[in-house]
Amino acid sequence: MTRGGNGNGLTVIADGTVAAADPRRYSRNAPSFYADPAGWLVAAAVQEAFDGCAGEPLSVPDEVGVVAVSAACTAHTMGAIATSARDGLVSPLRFAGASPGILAGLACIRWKLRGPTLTLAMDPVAGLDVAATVAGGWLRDGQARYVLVAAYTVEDDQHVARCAVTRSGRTGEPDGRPRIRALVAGPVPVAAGR
Amino acid sequence: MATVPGPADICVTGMAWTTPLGDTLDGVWQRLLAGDHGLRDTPSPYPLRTTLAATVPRQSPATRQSPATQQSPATQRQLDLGVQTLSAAFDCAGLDPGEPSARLVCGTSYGPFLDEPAGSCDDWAVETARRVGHPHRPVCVSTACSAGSDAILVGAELIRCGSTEVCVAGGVDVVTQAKRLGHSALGTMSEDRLRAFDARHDGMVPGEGAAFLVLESARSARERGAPVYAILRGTGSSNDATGLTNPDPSGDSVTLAVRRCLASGGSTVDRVAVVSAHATGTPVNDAVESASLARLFGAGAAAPVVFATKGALGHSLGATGAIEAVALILALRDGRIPPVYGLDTPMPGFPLPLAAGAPRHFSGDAGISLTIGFGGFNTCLLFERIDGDPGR
Repeated sequence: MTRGGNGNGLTVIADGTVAAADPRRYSRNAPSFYADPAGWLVAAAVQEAFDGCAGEPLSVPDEVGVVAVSAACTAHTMGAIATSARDGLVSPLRFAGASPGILAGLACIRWKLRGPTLTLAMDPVAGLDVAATVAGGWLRDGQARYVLVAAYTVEDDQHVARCAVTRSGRTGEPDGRPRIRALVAGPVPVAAGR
Repeated sequence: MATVPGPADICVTGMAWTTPLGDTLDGVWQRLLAGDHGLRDTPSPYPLRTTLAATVPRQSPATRQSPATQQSPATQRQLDLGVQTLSAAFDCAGLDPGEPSARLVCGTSYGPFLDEPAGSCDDWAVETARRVGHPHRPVCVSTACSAGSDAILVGAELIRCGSTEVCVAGGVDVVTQAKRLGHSALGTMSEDRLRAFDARHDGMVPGEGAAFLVLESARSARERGAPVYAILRGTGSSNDATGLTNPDPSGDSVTLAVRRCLASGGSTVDRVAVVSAHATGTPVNDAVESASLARLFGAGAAAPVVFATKGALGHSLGATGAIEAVALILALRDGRIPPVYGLDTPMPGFPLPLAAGAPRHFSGDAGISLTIGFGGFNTCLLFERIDGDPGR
């Protein structure tokens, strides 16, 4: 996690990265609630990023948006459902918790974030500029005061979630997009619990 | 008075849909106005709350050239619906799908993935683009039942920020066995019919289809003399932050999305003449939407009329936002809305006028389309009618 950054249009005030060989170690599911492990891993990265800015966005949760980008999304749970559906069985909890949108939506539930939210189901390398563009538009139009830009990837058998906390840039601050790109292209950290 | 596109406006210069009621703009629209439905008994090897589903029949020339049958794998059907509809949207706008200045944004919910897992969640969109001859990698959006609307929201932003002059955006989704089992197990599926806002509402009926809108900067549309069907005046969204399947019961979150949309378009609630509601027919969704509409419009002197197409077209999940955007644009063009199929007796306390049993006329130039998706995705699109009549 880091803190700082400047921006013109969009700037990064903190970021967080979490990796795990088995993302289920971050899951906090309950008998009446299930979300795909990727959603929980992203939520863990969001927590790291919030820690890096002293939870600054949480003072205005209605104005915090989320854009998540991932090609894999909720493949774990979708695959499990595909298997069980062949026998005519689909768990309603897993059906709800398999939605790719959960990559953005779970953080909203956990921190009561009611800003605009979006999941781009594509490789973050290809989708990150679009994510940053949409985030910048929300900030520009006042639809959000902060936007979390998150990515989830599977790299070398490591599940990696990264999150940047962005806000509108101020005069003299450089564009935050290069920092977001660098975050996503950065090295895979040593996974916890390996 | 209808609108004339201004220099900063985002114009809709083409649109297409493929639905259980057909695949021509006015053909489907006329059937909706006539009160038709596309529900079919669709057998299942496993018990379901209903075997009704609104599936797309094999009827169009494009589909016959690239067979999409009810027996085809889900991925193939997703591709066929996408290719047919996307090609038709480009054609409607007078654009070549290979146009290098255009971008493509595709939305879906689960698409075929719950039955046929894919290597990457955008494989279907990439293949759809390749088959129509589009040169760029598409942007792929997945926000459950708001995906079609959110694809349009993303496309609009790509134009606003100057990334592109033309963006073709919409959604595609298919009925599959796993999705039917899931909605049946979850209890969101009706045991009868989808009766949105009716006192007897008890859930949705699955549907499938596709729709794409060609969004274009006013400058680009003017320079090439493109027809303009409507202006996309505003976009807004919010998250419920309450649960995966239960919307925010207060209506606060839906209200936030609508207010953000209106603010982005410099508009106000009193300008909204018509609402295309999400209207899944589940008691929970209908209650939240009713509460939200009451908070937004309840005190207004000129309440907008409300319509909904899922009763006739089924709930096409990731496609529904785009399909309903097309329906709203046609409603604005004609100044009338189709009857809500399945609605006989409006639920107690519903705050706005509904069309029950017959089409209903309205006056005004602006309308909103509202979608509410699993994961809390509330999205609102604001369209305005334009002077002239390119859609006929």
